Amino acid sequence: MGAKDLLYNNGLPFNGDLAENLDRLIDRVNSGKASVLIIEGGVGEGKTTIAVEVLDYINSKYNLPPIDLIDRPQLAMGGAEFMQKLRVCHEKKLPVVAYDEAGDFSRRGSLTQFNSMLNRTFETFRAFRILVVIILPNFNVLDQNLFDNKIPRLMISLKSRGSSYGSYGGYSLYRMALLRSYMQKMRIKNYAYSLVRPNFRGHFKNLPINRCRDLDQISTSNKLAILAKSEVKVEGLLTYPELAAKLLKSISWVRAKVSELKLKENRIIRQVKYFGPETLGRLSDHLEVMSENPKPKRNGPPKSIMKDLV
Amino acid sequence: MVNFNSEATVGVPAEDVEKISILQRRYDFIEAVESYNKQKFRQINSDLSVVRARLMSLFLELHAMLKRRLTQEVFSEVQNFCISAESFDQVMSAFITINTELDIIKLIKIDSRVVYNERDVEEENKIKGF
Repeated sequence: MGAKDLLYNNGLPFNGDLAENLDRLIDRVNSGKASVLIIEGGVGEGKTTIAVEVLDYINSKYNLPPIDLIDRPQLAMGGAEFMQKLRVCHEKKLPVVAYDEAGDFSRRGSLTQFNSMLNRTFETFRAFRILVVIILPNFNVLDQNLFDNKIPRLMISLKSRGSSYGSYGGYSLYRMALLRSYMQKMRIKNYAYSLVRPNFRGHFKNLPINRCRDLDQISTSNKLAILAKSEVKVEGLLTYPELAAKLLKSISWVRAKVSELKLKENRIIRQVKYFGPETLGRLSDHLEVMSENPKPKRNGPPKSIMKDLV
Repeated sequence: MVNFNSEATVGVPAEDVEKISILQRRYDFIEAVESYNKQKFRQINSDLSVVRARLMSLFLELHAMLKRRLTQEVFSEVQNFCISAESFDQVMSAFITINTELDIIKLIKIDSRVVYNERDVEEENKIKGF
């Protein structure tokens, strides 16, 4: 497939009115207003593909090269990376950052964490003038607070991806609010999409083969990390916060004791240390010993003061 | 015409009854103009009596409002034409002034929906108050 086959007549990998609407979003961000573009769609609909194309387009508006898919300073896979990438974008003066949920929502309580992170982000980083692109399976999981603050401005909803192109519909914040209200009333939430017409529709093409390969690699490595995390859960390995919760102690206390007792972690995945059940046993024994032989309480003023007095 | 003997009219606010009455008189006037024009285009001799009578009724219905809203000069002219118009042009001039006032007070205004480019998401967000 030639490079020309990957572009529409407008010279972009997507057609329709998406480019004009992205221009309006850029203007809004430049005027210092927090703005979010949501890209939603089911598994394999091409969410990350169109996100990369959108990021490339926005970069081109600032005379920047297409986004780097190797170091990927503008593409955060999962919440843990998001804040870090946002900081990097600010430092490197990059105009847009994308957050790909990348399996984040499969964890219990992840939605609350995600929403609180987003709320915090927009309270803190509004002045950074960076457009945030959120990639997720269904926009209805987002907190109402974000919509009350009028932060998501445009949503691209993907469906019916073919072998060489995908289809999208663009929704305004007003239509997103309508969709959410219908979704709240309906048992089959997807039926809401048949009641609210998108503002505009269009198609998008695949990325060039080399970029597709890079994207696949990111996706695969991220999925492997998720798999590894699932494995540690099955094996019963615990992180510092989990150990602290089980021992009813603070995380800093656990860290200090692990270092003091020279306990070794069983595994490190993405800079997170995982400990076996024997570590929990050792810490628990140490806690018992401490409670049987408490440190004597020092009476009177500290020695240094006493010295001064003498 | 509003039926004051009907039980359905009892309990309807006077303002609503008045609005219906004005619309009815405006409709009647336009019907009379249509009949006048039909005769005129068939080159049949016709007079302005019905048209003038209906315009006068419409004026009487709106007298207080017009006096309040129009300048003294314009009101005098409309009053003059409505009561003793001598030509069709004078009748139409008075009616157009009255009709414009009815549009301003939104009694006959029907194009109040904002027209905007729906394909421009930010424009829609702005217009819908988001």
